Amino acid sequence: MFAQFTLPIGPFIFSIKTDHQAVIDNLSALYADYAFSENSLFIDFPITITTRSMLRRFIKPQIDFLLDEFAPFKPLPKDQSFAMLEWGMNWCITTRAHQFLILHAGTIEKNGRVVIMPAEQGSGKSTLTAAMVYSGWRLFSDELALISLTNSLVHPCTRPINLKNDSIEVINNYVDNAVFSTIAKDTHKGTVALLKPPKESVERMLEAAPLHCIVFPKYVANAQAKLTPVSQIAAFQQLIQHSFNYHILGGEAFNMIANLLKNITCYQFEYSDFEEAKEILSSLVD
Amino acid sequence: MSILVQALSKPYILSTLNQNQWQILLAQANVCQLVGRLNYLMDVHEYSKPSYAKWHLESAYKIAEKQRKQALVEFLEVPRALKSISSQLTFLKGAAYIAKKLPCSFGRTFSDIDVLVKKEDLNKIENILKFSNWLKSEVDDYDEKYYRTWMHEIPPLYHVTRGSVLDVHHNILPSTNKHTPNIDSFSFTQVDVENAGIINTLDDTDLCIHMAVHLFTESEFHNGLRDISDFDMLIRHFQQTRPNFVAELITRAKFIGLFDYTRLATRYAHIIFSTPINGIKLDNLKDKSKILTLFQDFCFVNIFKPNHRSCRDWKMTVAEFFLYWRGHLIRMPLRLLIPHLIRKSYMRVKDYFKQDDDLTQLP
Repeated sequence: MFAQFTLPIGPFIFSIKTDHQAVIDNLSALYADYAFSENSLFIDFPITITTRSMLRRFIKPQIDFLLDEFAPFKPLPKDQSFAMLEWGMNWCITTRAHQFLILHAGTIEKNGRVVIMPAEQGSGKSTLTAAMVYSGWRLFSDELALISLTNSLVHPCTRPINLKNDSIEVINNYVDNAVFSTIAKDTHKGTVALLKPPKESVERMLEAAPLHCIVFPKYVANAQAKLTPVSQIAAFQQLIQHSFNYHILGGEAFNMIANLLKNITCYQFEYSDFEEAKEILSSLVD
Repeated sequence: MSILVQALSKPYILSTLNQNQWQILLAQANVCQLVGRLNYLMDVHEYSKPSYAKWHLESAYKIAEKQRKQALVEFLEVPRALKSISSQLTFLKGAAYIAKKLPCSFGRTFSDIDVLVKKEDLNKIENILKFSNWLKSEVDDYDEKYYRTWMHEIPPLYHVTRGSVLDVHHNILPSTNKHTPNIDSFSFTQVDVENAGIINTLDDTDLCIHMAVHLFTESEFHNGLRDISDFDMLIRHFQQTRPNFVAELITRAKFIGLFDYTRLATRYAHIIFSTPINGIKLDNLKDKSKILTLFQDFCFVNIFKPNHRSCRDWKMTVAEFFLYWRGHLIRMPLRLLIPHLIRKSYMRVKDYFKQDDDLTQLP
């Protein structure tokens, strides 16, 4: 039996069709605050999560991610189904939505000012994002910064936060009543769980806001939280590195980044303690 | 007729569609790599794009524009790498459309840049390219030998830093095909490309003939609809300045011994997209055998459709099956084909059981 969800997420409309109970349960729990739509909207990304091979329903069960009828990835073990859905949704956005410059970055907002935190996998960007959005910041995304090429505003893409390994326990201790998805073990990224986004962030997911500053975060054990200014040139290079579609947008993206960097400041940010991090990041937007 | 084929044949339809029709159209176009082309057609005709479809259309177009820029770089870089040898280097297919700024090049994506060189220079060229950072993509020993012995091209090369993929051909058909032409009978032309200088490509008729040969010797038609639409756009474009272009094309194809493929392309472009074929009767583009004509009509009319659930039917599946065998039999005689296919099936089964270990491809 297939269940279908029509899910508006920021500027996109996904439809998710699945016959996997784990996906249905996790979707219902983590997307509980979303406006599941019954209207016949234009679907940007029609996704199906199912098992195509009859054999693979029973022997070492696997699941497939399909965008319309196309499977961009090889199947994954069944217990990773919900994580695969979230990865697949990222793939949809980063390979198609070239009306935005898309950066691999945690993105949060306070006082109408957006802070983008671009970082490598494993630098603690999602963990920091999770901690901040449960202490007064608004979640745009823990993974993708969408900067509009028409008006340079940052658009929210509010979705569950992807936490890995030790971060899951860290956030579970830090956030009261945190709601997590089922945990997927032994994925290519280690143990993965998704954290439900704050209700207020979900309700305001259509409100874009201007970029205020860029912070390159790095978790350093026992370090005191510290901001170090980064030169425009160094920041430019790092932004290109952290971009998903700079190579496609070319000149268009170059000009936009150049213009943005004229008006904002960029920092390297070392932290270990969330309370200190909160204080310093808030001081940037007050 | 699918909504995609209707839109390609009569672009004004694009200004009349409702939301549901757009949903289906974009799904079909995505399967066929034709979203960028739809965007081009809408821009040329200055149709306004509904907001929900606009960014899908324009994103696909941006990807194609990026590839165009990449091709323009290679028009400069590949001849530069090979300047020490005097061998002629000719750009084919997608790259040729870009060099000639043909309408079908706009919004069109391609996976590699095809060049044609003289067979006797092939080794030298391969060596020089290696020292210019063009490396061989990973091909197993069997495939390597197969390419070298039977094919008209060497395994694809990719550039280490620029990421472009280069397909180096020494003929336009495998040596095992009974129609393999003498490459010297093709007519070459030069185009002045901005920022790259003079580059060689095929002249207009031979460009169309090559396209037809390429498409109608395929055994799989994943991009079939896109390719036959390319042919339709080529013919329509050349006809604007040469009203008898189709007649000239047919004469020329007969002259170089490639009439069979050219007539197929012309016939099915006309049947599917109503491509004007001034001065030529559709009946003259049939096979001599009635049975073969029925067979070809069935297969090609059903294969040049979007491979999407909105228009897939049993006829398409049957056509796929027949054309798979037709393509292989054209490419090589049975005594080579059967061992080849057995070997390939074995490799596929082996890969299937290996896939559980390979989960690293996700973003």
